Amino acid sequence: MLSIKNLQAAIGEKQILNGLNLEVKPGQVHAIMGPNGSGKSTLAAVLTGREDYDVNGGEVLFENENLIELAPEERAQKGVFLAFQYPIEIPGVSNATFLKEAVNAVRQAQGKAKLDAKEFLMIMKEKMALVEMDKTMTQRSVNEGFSGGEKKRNEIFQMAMLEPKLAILDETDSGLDIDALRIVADGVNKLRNPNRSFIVITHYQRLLDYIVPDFVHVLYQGRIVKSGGKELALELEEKGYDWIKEETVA
Amino acid sequence: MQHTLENTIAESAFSEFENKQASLAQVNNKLRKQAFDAFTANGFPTTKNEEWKYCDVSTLMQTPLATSAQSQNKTTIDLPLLNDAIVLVFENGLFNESLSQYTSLPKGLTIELLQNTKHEAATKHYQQYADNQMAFSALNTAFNTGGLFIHAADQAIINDNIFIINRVSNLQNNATYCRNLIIAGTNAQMQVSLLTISSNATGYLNVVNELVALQNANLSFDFIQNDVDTLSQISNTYVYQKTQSTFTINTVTLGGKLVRNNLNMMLADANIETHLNGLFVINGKSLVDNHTAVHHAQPNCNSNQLYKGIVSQNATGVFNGKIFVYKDAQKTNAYQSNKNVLLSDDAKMFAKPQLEIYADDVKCSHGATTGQLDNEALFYLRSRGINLPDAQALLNFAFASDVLQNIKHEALHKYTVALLAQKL
Ligand SMILES: Nc1ncnc2c1ncn2[C@@H]1O[C@H](COP(=O)(O)OP(=O)(O)O)[C@@H](O)[C@H]1O
Ligand SMILES: [Mg+2]
Repeated sequence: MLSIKNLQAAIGEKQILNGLNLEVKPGQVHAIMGPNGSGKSTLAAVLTGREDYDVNGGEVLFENENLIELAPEERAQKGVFLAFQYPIEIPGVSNATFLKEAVNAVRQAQGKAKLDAKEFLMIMKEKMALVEMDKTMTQRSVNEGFSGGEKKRNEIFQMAMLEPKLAILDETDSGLDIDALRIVADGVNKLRNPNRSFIVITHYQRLLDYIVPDFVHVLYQGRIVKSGGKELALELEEKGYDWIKEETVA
Repeated sequence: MQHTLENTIAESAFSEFENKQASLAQVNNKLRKQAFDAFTANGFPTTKNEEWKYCDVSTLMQTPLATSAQSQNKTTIDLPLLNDAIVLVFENGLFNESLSQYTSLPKGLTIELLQNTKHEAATKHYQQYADNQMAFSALNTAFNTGGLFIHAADQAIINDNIFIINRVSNLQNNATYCRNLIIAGTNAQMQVSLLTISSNATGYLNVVNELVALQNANLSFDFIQNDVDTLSQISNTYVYQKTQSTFTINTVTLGGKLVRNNLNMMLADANIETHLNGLFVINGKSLVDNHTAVHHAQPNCNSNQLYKGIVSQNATGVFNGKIFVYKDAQKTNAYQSNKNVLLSDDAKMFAKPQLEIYADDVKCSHGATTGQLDNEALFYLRSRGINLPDAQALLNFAFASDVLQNIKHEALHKYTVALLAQKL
């Protein structure tokens, strides 16, 4: 599904990704962990087409297509989704309007009929229940005045609406209390299926108790320096990142 | 009077106009002459004048002062929002009786043509606020081909919406005039909307509105300018408020070649509230120049200004907002906010807030920002599959919506939103 080979990316003069490799097969959940500043969000940004980044080496194939050449919306239309580490507030655009535009743009690009207002409402209701989201939130402006937890829930709600093939969750757990974390994780788990893959970026092992990954990778200095099964996350939790850093230097 | 070639031409235009349009001159023969003399004394403003720095009217000077419009466009104005409303239609500056609907007016509401009215309030207020030192305002007073007098009597609560449709069509290189005197009497309530539309027209439309809210009256005025990009418009709107009155104006400019709006607010009494909202969404080579002046002459008044602009392609936007707080105007609250978005490298915006405060116990603030669309928000929308032009439109729409939400008439709000959607 997703094949990243020797990916290198910079922002301005600063080289951040230094030859990153990752293979994600349909249905798999890959966790990416690593200390702050190691390039996790950069990877997410490069995969989703943020313009500030300069991809200066390597390749990214998504279903055998060169992802890097596509506009952000084209990637989304092909089924790539990013749950933002810091969701953006958009005053004046209601959540419902925004999602209707988004869902229909994606459907149209995929050759499906647009949803009418009634169909859209029904689906929206169903997906809101998935993340226990309050009805009133759909009428509010996108993320405006939402608490940290509400914003993260809204990201998962959007994911549920858009039904991507590949979902990248960037620190969706940060800033969540334990109840919110469980709700968000349950939502994600309900969306797991054999055709949908996840890249779960997290700083802490805690989230992975709920969303159990198939693989855990450690990103450090723009490179994946260690990969393993879910037990690697526990090891990291126990020992911290220092031993990885030492190993990398050595 | 200066003896220049321009003035000689103007002189003969005026006397010819006076002879030809004798029927229009009845109410205000003297006022026409005064205004004309003031105009010839001052002439047209040039870009050397600070107030007209970005607004070059030299091409308008080539347009004959008196209109030559005679015939009327018979095409009906097909706007659903006009159903069940009071509608007054002007074609190329002339009243179009057959397209208007104003037969059964609610109690307390008077609508008459300025050139016919014998109403006491019309005589009392006409040309009391319009300033002959403003060239185009003086020209309007000298050359207008009639206009409207709309009056809500004391205590009258007018629930019907009143639409003035000003259409310029099939008319080249002409000045056409639109003139309105609108008065809300003591404790009265009324809302009036002026829509300017056009097709196949060049030259310019010259608008003067005198709007009066007497004691404790509530008057609102929507001014929707949606002209073709070959027609210019110069408007001068004068608002005069008495104590405890509330006034709202929403000026929305969605088209036109060169549009200059002068809005002059005189808060002549204590305890007045006034709201000025404006939105301009322009492209092509359009120029829209909004000049506002709010005069706080007495204590305890609130004024609130919100102007927003979306400027794309080679268009130019200008906002100049003046607030004067006079010596006696203690406890004034005067707010002004101007926010603009430039959508292209060639789009330009000149914003200048000006505060002159001569009282000490006042709260005034102003802020002007001009920027691009929020890239973070744009990326967020695109990352959800929304195509770039739609994402831009959505953000522009959101940017404009807090101005448009001040249009209280639901059908007009919907209409304006639809016009905006077309434009974005
Ligand atoms: N806009 C930017 N300009 C300059 N440096 C940046 C920018 N964004 C991120 N960086 C730097 O790139 C590195 C990787 O950042 P990021 O991908 O956000 O890390 P992580 O998500 O793993 O914490 C950090 O050193 C960070 O300071
Ligand atoms: Mg990060």
